[in-house]
Formats: sequence, structure tokens, C-alpha cells
Amino acid sequence: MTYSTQPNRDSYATFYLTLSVIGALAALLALSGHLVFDDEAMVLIGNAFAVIRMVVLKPSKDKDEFLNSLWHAGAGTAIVTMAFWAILGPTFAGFVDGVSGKPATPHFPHEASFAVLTCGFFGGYLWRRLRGQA
Amino acid sequence: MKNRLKVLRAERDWSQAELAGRLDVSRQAVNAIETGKHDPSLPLAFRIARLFDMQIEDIFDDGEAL
Repeated sequence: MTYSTQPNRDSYATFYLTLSVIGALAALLALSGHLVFDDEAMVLIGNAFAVIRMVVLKPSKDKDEFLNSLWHAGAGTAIVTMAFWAILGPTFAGFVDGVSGKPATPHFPHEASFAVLTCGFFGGYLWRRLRGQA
Repeated sequence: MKNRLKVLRAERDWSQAELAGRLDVSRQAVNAIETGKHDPSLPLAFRIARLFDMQIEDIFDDGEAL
């Protein structure tokens, strides 16, 4: 794969890496809005910021192979996170309800799926950035 | 994967930014390779080897040498 050549590659790499941190904070804001504070405004703002960050980050993967590897790590983590959330999440919630004898929550929070997805993406992105492949 | 990129760069008195410019990648990519957080692609590994006029295995060590 060839990557575009630009004289200001350090600037855009710094820009994209900063965006990923903001995106992660936005995703956490949305998730906490769902699961902790039950605040629609937090969810809306968090999701909006996270989506905008992901869209802006998308072209970065064609500019530099390190940024490309970060993007793929984020995408892979998002898929795995969603699989666990969608399959094991309800199972675990049902198990907890069964053990406690009464449903602790009215339902499994499927509406938080998008926030979980973005958290998985930015979590994998930043983990790869900070820790590498190990 | 271990590598000698930092040593080779220092021997030539190049900054990370200067090496990144010669390899056509970002400085962050060079830093990630030097610290072992990113394994370069094969094309980039070849570019690095050509730049230093060395074999790839003389720069990178996967720890499985015979």
C-alpha cells in the first residue's frame, strides 16, 4: 500500500492523534450518559463528537502506515467489543437477574450499543498507540 | 520486534523528524518503530534497509534467529 506524501506529515499525525483522544472522551461521555447519568443530552453530544472524530480520522489511515495500524486496531477492537456486548451482555444481565431473583433493570440497555462501539474503537486505537502490539 | 533504528539514526546524527522525512512517514511512525510499538510494513522495512545500506535482518530482530 502506498501512502500520500505531504510535507507537513508530523502536523497531521499530531492532529489525528489528538482527535483520537477527544473521540475517546466523547465516547466515554456518551456511554456514561447511557449507563450512569441517564442523560439524553450527554448521549447526544458524546455520540455526535465521537462520530465526527471517526469520520475525520478515516482519511488518516491512507496518509501514514502507523496511523493506518491504529485505525485497524480500533476497528478490530470495535467489532470484538460489539460481539461481546450483543451476545454476552444480555446473557450476563439475565444471569444476574436470575441469581438476584428479580430484574435489576427493566431491560438490557441496547440503546447504548453505539456508545459501546465507539468506546471500543477509540479504546483499541489508543491502546495500540500507547502499548503497541503487545 | 527489536530493532537498531535508534542506534543507526544516532550514528548519522539524524533527528526522528529527519529520518521520517527520508522514509516518507510521520515522526510518530519512526518513534513507534524505535520503541517497538509498531512493526513496519515490508515496503517500509525495505526502505529503511536501503536507506542505511543494510540487510533487513541486520536492522530488525524477531528473536527467532537460527
